[in-house]
Amino acid sequence: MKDITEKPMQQWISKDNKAEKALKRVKQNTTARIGIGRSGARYKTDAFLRFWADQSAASDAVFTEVTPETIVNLGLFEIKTKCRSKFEMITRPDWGRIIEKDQQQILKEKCVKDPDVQIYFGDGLSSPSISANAEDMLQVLKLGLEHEGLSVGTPFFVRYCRVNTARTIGPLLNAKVVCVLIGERPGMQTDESMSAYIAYKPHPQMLESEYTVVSNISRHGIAPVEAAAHIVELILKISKAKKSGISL
Amino acid sequence: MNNSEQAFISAGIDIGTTTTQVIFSKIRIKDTSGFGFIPKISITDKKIIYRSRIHLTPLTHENEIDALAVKELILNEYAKAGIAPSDIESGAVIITGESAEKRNAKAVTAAISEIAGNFVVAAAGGKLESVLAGKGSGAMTLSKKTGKRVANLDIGGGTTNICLFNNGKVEEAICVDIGGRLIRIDSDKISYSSAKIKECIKNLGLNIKEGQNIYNNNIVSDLETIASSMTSYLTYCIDPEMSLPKEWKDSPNTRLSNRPDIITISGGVADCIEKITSDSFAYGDIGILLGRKIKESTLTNTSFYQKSDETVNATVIGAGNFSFEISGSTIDYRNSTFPLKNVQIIDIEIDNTASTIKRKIEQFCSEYQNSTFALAAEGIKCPTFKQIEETAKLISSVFNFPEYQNKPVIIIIKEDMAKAFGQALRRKLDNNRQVICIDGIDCGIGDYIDIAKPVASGQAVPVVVKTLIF
Repeated sequence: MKDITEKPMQQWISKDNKAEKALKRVKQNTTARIGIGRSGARYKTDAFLRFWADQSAASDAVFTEVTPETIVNLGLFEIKTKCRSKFEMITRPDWGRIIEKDQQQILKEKCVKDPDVQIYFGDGLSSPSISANAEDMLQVLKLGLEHEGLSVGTPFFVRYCRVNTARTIGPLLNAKVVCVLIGERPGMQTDESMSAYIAYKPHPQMLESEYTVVSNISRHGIAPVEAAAHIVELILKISKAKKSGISL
Repeated sequence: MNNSEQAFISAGIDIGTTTTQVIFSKIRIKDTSGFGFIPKISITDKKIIYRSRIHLTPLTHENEIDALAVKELILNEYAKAGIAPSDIESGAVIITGESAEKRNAKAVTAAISEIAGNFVVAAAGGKLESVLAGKGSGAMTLSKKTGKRVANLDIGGGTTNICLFNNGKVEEAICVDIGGRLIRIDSDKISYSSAKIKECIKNLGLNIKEGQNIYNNNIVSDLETIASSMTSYLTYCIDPEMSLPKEWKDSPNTRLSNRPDIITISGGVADCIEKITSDSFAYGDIGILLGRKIKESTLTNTSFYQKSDETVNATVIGAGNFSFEISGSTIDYRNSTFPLKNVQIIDIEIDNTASTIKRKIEQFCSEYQNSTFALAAEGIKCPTFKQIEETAKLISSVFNFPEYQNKPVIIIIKEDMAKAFGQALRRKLDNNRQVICIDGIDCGIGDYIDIAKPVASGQAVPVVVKTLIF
């Protein structure tokens, strides 16, 4: 079966458009769905199907699970938050931050303590972002940070994860800098975007503004390797300044 | 996340066949990315803060630029503008057209780059001039705005520089020997005619010789014939359908291969198109006649023609405002001092083998001995970690050969991957090694580049690419 989302929307032009060349040029400046044609006041069938397809991909990205094989292949182990399903994660954002005692125990057993930098992945609102970006980012981050003389903790994956798990995990492992790589809420352009939330010594009372954020990491946005190289430098800066977020 | 705006001063110096001009511009740069995004340093504003008067280029005799007088003139302009040479961070000195062929052009360039500041590059060459004039005239902006092919003809004293832009990008650039001062008139007598114009005079069977009084024997009408012939030649250069006027049969066959949708004209002669003067020889040359003939011709008498934003200043504005670009904002460099000047490009492919790259460097070194070189590659769009590692392993293995131990490692990539690649390279090289890895710059074989001091808290570097490949 043909994948109708194969062609990026910026290259997608309605078959009967007469000003194809000019439209291509204009479309380079925006990701909006312009020049998709119409029939009376309505969308054409192909434009409408494409809209539905992209909408469905976004929705699937939120509700599908990261497979256990993906985690194993990345060389990670897995813990989860208080949520028991994707549905619970969406409806109970507060539970997505809580790591219960048994899961904390797993972390304590499996992870190196007192690292300079603790990196972990979370599914967040996009499961495909893990398989798409995690491998490239992890290696660039680990090698880059270690080359700069920083120790990197044992990486892992948190299922049903929200960013503020860092408030618990940071103190638990006594990490100086925590970097959460988490799936971004998908939009209509891509369902693979990841964000990095980086905090210096996160703790339960920390403010949201203490996170340094790098977003839009995907092959459609900032290339994962280049983003990771940038994050290496950010983490160096954060460790030296002993602060993160807007005060950096 | 440094969102504050920064500014630096750029100079443009144009030493043409006829006139010499200086401009200073303030270039503003800023991180234009939003919160949470990777920085993107962009030029937000270019403002000309000083334009010199249009000076006649001082010449000692027919074939030499008076280097000392030119230097004096430029120093004077710095003083008038209240700018010290050390304030200048970027820009270009352009010795254009016929002047560039004069014997001491090199000495002049050297004398000037010495006083022109930290990072003013000395450059000449028909294609680069054409591109700079095209950009300075506003033709590039017009092309980008309309999405059309725009050709700018910068008609000066000795040469006409033609640049064709398509959708804001340079498509072709040529330079031909047509200009307003190829024949000069002093106290009603013909005082000079260039070698190429003499050929044309001969081919047309006209009777114009140096020393003749222009008001005898219908010489004025002969001069008009020459001006129209020059106009036809220019039309031939931009119109692929037209055939070469036979009197120009010995000229090099340089012309555009694509027809422009819009034509703009800049340079000194552009001012003569609109100007109505009773004295046809007010400037002591045939520039006014040429302007008139162009006005009557199909070059301007069509809907294709549009008036240019800048005329006589186009080249100098190009030199000051458009000679450099800003690299990508995720780059990597260590142990380096800037500026780096006249770095020669060795073109490689990311998938070349180590021995191919080594052979290319060997070839280069045997030809240029101790010149600094950079390896330039197109790169990979969104590379994987594996691709980055493998390529870094390969490149570092080449630079770890004993004969290249002392060479700085300079890598120029077009695609956005320099930071990841630079870090990977550094992991494989000695910690004290000079490594520069920048992206967002497109250059190729035969190009020279200058890399300026980093801007915007060290996140990006201005780069001048000095010769151009199309």
